Amino acid sequence: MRASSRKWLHKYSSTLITGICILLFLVYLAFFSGADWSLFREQFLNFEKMEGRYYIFISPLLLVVKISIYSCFFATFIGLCLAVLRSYKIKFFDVTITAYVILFRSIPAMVLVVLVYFALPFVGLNLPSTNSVIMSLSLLFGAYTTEIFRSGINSVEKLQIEASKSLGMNSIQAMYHVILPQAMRVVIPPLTTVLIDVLKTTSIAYVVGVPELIARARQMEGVIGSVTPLIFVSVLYFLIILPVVILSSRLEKRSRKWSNS
Amino acid sequence: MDELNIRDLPRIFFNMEIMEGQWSLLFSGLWVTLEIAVVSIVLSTFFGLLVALMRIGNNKLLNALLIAYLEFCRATPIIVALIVVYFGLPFLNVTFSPFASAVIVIVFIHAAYIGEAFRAGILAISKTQTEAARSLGMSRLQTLIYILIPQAFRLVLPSLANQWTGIIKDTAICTILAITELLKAAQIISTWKANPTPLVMSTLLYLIILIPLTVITMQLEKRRGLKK
Amino acid sequence: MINNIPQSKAILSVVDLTKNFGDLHVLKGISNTFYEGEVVSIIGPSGSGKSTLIRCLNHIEEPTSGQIIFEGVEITNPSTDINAVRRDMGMVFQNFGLFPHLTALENIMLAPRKVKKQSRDEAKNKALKLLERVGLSDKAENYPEQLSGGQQQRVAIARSLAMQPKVLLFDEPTSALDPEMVREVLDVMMGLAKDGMTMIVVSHEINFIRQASSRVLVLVDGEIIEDGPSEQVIESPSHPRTKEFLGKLL
Repeated sequence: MRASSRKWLHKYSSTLITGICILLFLVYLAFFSGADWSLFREQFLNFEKMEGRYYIFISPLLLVVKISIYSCFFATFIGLCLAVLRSYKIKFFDVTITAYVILFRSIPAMVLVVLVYFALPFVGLNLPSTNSVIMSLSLLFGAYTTEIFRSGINSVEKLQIEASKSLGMNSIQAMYHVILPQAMRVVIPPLTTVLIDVLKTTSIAYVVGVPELIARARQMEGVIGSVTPLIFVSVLYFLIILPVVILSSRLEKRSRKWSNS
Repeated sequence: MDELNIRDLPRIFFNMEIMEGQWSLLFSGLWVTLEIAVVSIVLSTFFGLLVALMRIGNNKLLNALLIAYLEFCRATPIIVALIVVYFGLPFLNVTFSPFASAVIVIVFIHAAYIGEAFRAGILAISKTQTEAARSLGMSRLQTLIYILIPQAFRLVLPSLANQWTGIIKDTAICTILAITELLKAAQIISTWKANPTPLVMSTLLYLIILIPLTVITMQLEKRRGLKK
Repeated sequence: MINNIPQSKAILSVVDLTKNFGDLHVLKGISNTFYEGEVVSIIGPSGSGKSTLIRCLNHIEEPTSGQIIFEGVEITNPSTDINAVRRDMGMVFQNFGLFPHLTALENIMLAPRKVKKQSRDEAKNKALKLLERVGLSDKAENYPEQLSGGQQQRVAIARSLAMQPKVLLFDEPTSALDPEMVREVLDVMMGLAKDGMTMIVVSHEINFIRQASSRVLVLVDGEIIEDGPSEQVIESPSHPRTKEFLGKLL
């Protein structure tokens, strides 16, 4: 029996040590680090001052959702069209689409948003800043979705195309009825990753004066003299994105099972 | 501005007269961007490897903590984290310089992603590798250093290149801090001269750095795809 | 028979070894003693626990209960420095387990340098000699993926030999090989047997058993049902399960 208890200790000693370390660290933070916890509460978790002001976040929240949905829709549309065009292996499309993908995979989102917002008025286009953000995000993430759809289409066996052609379908029918439905299975998990990235990247709209969550939080921060609104907004972002993150890792696990079987 | 003439475009977007005397500011911005990027890449790769090593052990508690950390990073926009660290922490009398804030936030978030990539890489190595190394009398640590890590680096290279590109792109977000990196420098000149040329020039500078990296990443991804 | 000398010194003893995977009892109390200079073959139907047994011997698989004593040291004791024990026990795997990021030469040199702290030159000289011994002098600078399966397994044997082990364990060394490559690996193994290396081999290569093996253990359902000199077990097995199994094999 003693040998087995020793084995047990051997196996779980690292977990025990980690637990003790974390406990000691928390004790240190709470009592010995000299941090002013009342200040922390007042500045970071001062929800009393926020009372009656939560409604202010409703319209920016809807705006973030709107930007995300539009951007995702356009990005998916761009990606699907370009990937289908590319699958026909016409030299001209191949070159231009590859160039598009490389260009928009390389450009930082922040740079594109600022450039589009600042530069468009000079060519006579006075887009509302929200629309310029949607346009930038669609172009950016269109590059990723193009790649995702392409690998989805490539994942369908060549035999499937030949089989559908032998049934008398033309190449558009084959694409629509046979290849795309099969490609969807491969495509959906990475598309959820794009959704996560879009949701996160909408926060950049703050820089070009879109009245979204961060902008509102910073305004309120000035009014009530506490960072609490900012903390509230980060929690809000977290709560919006987390379900998608969980969904995404579930789907990924499942698709890994598919590819193994 | 109502009637836009195509011939006006170069004058608007590539007006080199505007850039005269401004290149030094733009390049000093580029230098700051590169500094942030290089320091962040080195540190986040190091910490990412550390995170991966902690996760492949059988420590359940540590594992749970690190999963929570990863999910937190996946669900937090960098810009929000940056604002909390740079504008929020001073309320607690904890003040970081803009440079330090940028590096802290980028490393904190990207280390989680890089850690996940390394973990996948190490787990993808066949179990026989560990067994062979251990049967030769190598310790756990030696197995890790001489057998697992070198192989993990190769497997992980495409995702690593992708993450590094992402870090360089994320440095542009630091433009919201009081630090004159490339994008900020371009914005300053553009606003002052009321002309988008400096922004276009800064975009080109970003692309000169990032396009080769993107192409390399895509090549690496393609090669990995072929091997499968 | 070359090495039929069971009267010599005991090198490795197994006492009442069991191994469970959950509810599955893979080894049900194995006891045996291996002597210096012996070449022991372990045979048995698939799923009988042969691989698990040999993997327990150098503690790559942790036994559920029982003792393993190697040169007077009880390696099943948690306080034993298992790395020190494994230095003296080589192991050759079914899937070779060569390190793909190192050349054949570097594969052989790594453990002597890092574990035994040999100098680079010393390790290199020995490694080159070992490559010559397994007939692969010209492949020193090749990476594993450039070698055939048989060549990889020969490098793996050389890699184990570089640690100058007192016992060499083989876990189905030829079963992942194409038929035409089995011979070259068996030749190397027979050469080792001739040189007096103590070997414990899980293998169904009847030619190897006949020509090089001094003793055969028959393992069925996690128990040793027969233990005797090779000739006797192969030609006139006493247990009906052995007869049945050999009948399929021959």
